[in-house]
Amino acid sequence: MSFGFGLGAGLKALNAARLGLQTAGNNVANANTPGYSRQRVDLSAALPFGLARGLQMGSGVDVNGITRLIDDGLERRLRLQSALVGAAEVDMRRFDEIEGMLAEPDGGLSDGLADLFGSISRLQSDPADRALRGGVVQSAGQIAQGFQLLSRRFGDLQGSTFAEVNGLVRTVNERAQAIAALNREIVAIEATGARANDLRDTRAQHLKEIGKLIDTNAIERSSGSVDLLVGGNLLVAGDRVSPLTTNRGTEGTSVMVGGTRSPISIRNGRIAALLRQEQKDLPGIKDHIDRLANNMILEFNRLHTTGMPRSGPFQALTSAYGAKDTNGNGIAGDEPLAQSGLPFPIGQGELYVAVTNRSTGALERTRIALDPATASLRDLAAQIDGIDRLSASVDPTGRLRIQADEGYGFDFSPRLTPMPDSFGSFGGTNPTIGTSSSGPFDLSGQTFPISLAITTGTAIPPVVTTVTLDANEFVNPAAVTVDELVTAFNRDLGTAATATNIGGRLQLRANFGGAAAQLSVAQGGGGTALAVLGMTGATVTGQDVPVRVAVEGVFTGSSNGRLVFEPTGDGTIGVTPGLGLRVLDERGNLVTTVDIGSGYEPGEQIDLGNGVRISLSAGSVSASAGNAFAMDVVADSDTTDVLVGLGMNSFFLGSTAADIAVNPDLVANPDRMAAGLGTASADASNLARFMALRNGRIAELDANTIEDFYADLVGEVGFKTSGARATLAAQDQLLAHLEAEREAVSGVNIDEEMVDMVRFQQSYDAAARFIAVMQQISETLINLGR
Amino acid sequence: MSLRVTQASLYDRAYRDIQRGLNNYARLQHEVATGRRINRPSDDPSGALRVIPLENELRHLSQLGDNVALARETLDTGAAALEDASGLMARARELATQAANGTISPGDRRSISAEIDQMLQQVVGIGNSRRGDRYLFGGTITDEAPFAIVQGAGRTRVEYRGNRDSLSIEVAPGVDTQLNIPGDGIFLQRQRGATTFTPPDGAAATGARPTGRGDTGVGFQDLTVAFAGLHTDTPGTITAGNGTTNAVGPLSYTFTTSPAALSVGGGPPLLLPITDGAFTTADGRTISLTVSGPPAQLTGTFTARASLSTDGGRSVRVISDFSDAAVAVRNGEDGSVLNIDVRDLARTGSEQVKYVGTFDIFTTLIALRDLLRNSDELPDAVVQQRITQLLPEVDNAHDAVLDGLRELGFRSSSTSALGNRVTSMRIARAESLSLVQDTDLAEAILAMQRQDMSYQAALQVGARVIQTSLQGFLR
Repeated sequence: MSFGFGLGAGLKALNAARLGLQTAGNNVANANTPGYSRQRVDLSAALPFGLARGLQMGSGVDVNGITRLIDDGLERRLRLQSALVGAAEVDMRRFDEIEGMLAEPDGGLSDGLADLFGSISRLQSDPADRALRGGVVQSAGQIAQGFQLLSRRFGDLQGSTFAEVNGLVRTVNERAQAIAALNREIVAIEATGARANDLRDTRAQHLKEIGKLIDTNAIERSSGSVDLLVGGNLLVAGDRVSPLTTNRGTEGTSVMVGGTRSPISIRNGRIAALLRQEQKDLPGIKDHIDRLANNMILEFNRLHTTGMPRSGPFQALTSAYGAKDTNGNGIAGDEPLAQSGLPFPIGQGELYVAVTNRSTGALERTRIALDPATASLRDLAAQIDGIDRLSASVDPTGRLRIQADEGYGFDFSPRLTPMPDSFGSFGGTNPTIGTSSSGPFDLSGQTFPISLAITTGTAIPPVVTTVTLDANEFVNPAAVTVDELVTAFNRDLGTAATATNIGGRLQLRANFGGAAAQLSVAQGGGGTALAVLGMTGATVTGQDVPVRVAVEGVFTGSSNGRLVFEPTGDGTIGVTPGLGLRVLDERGNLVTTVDIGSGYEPGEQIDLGNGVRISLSAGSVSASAGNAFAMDVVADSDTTDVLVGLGMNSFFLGSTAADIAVNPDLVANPDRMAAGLGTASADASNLARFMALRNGRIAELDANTIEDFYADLVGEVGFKTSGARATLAAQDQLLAHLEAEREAVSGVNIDEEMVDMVRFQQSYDAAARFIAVMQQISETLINLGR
Repeated sequence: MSLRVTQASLYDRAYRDIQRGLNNYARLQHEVATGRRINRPSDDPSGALRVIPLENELRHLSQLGDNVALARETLDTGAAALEDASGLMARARELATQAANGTISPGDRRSISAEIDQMLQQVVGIGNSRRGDRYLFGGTITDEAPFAIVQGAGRTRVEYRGNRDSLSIEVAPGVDTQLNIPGDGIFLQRQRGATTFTPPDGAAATGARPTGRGDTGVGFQDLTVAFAGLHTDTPGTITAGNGTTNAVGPLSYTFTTSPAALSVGGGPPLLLPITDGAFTTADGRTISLTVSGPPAQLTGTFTARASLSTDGGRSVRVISDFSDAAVAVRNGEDGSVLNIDVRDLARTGSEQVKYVGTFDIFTTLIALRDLLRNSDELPDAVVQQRITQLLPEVDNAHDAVLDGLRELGFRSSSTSALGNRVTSMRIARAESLSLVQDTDLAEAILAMQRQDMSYQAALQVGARVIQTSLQGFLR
């Protein structure tokens, strides 16, 4: 044994104790450093010396190194959990913001919707009141504003995603640079065999921070450097970085690695949550709001365009929207309506235009069949232009303008015709002869030309006019239509009489009136054409005072049609026993028969059902002369939505939440609001239709009412917000748990370090003491030799 | 081995505990301060889904409450107007009874007539009552007076210019009530009965008979039957004379040749030729004829045409076919039609036409006024008799007003019952809303106290724990 050996062991012990103390000090110093892992001095007994006879003698303590106490699996789980919490935080914040925008249950759109319907309901009590009308327009304006505000805010939120992602990507890139730099240093240090504990901790901390933003996969190589993969692409490879880039395209924000063009798929972290919000949640909510606005505009405009303003039928009206020149030939409105770029799709169907004589109140209704696949706006204008007393044109911007002659007005209201027998073929002053049924008629068995002698006048002898029906006047003599007959008759009748089509029947009216006026039709050359047509050969006389037919009410039936009325026999209204009025539908099916004979007081209203009430004044009617009149019953006067598409007398303008607005004409003059369908001052029948909309289930809104559809959205956002809050709480809990676990493994307990300090201090003291003892021993030995 | 605990984890735990405590604290504080459990949909999404429809329904119900009040106000205004009318009718009855009494002088009658004319104006004014500046009784035509007095030749009538459309508002969920009152149903209520013809006192009946079918006149009218010349079936030697003729209809004649004489309708023969000869028939009718001599046929029938008019000759219907069971005579003043059976029509003259059951309040007052005014200068006894006849009509008209009043009263009370239902529904909905939405204050305050306690405890314990360290005990 040598003294040197003893001193050596003491020195080693001193060293070990000093390192232990220093490590404890370092631990205490970093107790609050994020990501710091406590370190420990690894000690082991030094290699023993072999003494004689197999004795082994310890040679003190060796310091093997200073290691970090760390659980790599736990670190990885923590990184993943941070990503989840990051995403949950973004979701929570965003939904919280959206929920705040909706401002429910107070002050949001649901208030506005309730106010709008409330103001309509109030207007119902006094439809002529200007202030109440103004109230409706104002609440509609508030709704429109509410929609616009929501739409703009969603747009802002959507737009801020890019800026936010961009900022986060910059952070990721900075951290990636730091990781690459640390990789270089760690590799350099560890190549010498040392452990770069603190650098590794710093790098782990950077990895964790990146993990909050984006989901990554870290792979440690044997050299000690870490490669970082994002969505399968290398973000960090050793000491090289391929930074992330962002791009804003039509489909939103995308993130790419390095110079690659294809966006990477990100599943977790804040960035992923932001992108998900931008691509799914926000558009979903925005779409919901837009659908609501779109359908509200459509439904309100459907009712409003077919309503009647306070001032009665229109003198002139110009559409708010024009047909676009989509085929680029420089002429707007010559392409089919379906391709005219109108804000609402035009369907196939029919449009009823009513022309009212302002002085008499008489109404003539024209039905226009429209196929948007073939008919252009100019075709429609031409058809309207063809209506008596109306002129219509398409201006260079593609807008439709309709104007009525002085003293006339037009509207699209489904109201009932107040005086349906304008032609006078039902007990009118002028004698009339009509066909007993509706066409077409089979004249193929007759010998053409058919010569008919029409006798008219009051003088003796009366005037005879010959009508000649030639075979070439009919497309198919076996199915001669009434319109063909009307044309053929009118060609030859001159001033003696007029032929027209009344509810599918040919009616011939002498141009003289009064009790002395006569009309008869006879066929020359002995054919049976009159019998085929069902026209009487007898002489018919007129009467001094006509039978007046008056209709009141609002049609409540569900489909459009035309009713034809005919007497069941010849007789005097209110006098002849058993005289009835037969009501037939368009196809000739019997709807009802009502008594207008001895049980009826002329002038009394008869309820025909479906809201139609009719009254007949006294006078004579004749079934044998083919007396009849027709009346359109209209449930929906515009089944094509062409009025909505063009914006003729709209309630709302626009087609989405972003551009919805109340028609400025209504704001300027609330009397233009169409409260009624007819012209009476207190007619509120259109308001009733608006109110029915409140409870109406709209197919395009998933068969919800307007308010329910909106409430669904509120509920959805509420559920998502509370869900996001719960998710965040749960993920955060988990993170806290993992962090506690990490703390348990790698955290610094100051008390422990105190204990260690005391322990190492004592061991230092002891080692020093040992050296002192060894010194004494050696002195004793030296003194022995003296 | 249990988990190691470090200072950092202690601090962290304490920090989280305090945060959570504060969060709960803030939430409870908000709930108590606003009195609501649901301040944002995410506070309770399923609750919020109930809150929005409930709030909508509440708003709707409160609107219905307003509507009920409005409907009642309108109906009550209408009823008040009708009560006035009823009072006027009671007074009219009083006056009519007084006038039917023979002892009053023509001057008194005139002053009563003036008072009744005043009442007529008042009743029309009642028919034109307004609420705000809207006419109450005009159907949906609220900007034009629904009733107007129209002065025709000799007769006054009141025209209805409103319509029969209703203006309905919702007064209870799914229940609409008519807010307006089409006035013709109340002021012009009628149950038309058989029309009667009465010849003036002492005059012979014309033989015209009412058909009782399809008549549209109202109140009283005068049917005048006049001679309108001879029909073309008359033999060529006979022409109408210039003397008085009161016979109309088919007349038989017999010529005798020596001496040449003519007998009409079985009456005494007069010698021919004769100018303006006053022929009498066996039943006492006279006809003035100028006859030049015997015709080809010695016996036969000819027709004296009659002209019928209900408006004093303004518009006439000339009859030559006396086999018609229903001849429509149109009144040129009001366009009404009277259907007359002329098969027994034999004399000229007049008939008072009474459209039974059409005596509404206006018609009755007009009839009463005109009788009292007596512009036709009828004898007193006739006037009294007619007034007496009119008394039941006054009662009927009064009844019609009372019917209207009853109907309005019924509608008002049923609306009011609906209003009560709406109110109780509103209370029930408000309660459900409160159950879903409102903070249970007692519970919230209790929870807050509990929260307070645990928060305080967390703070205390945290303070203790984080202070504790081995450091304090070394040395």
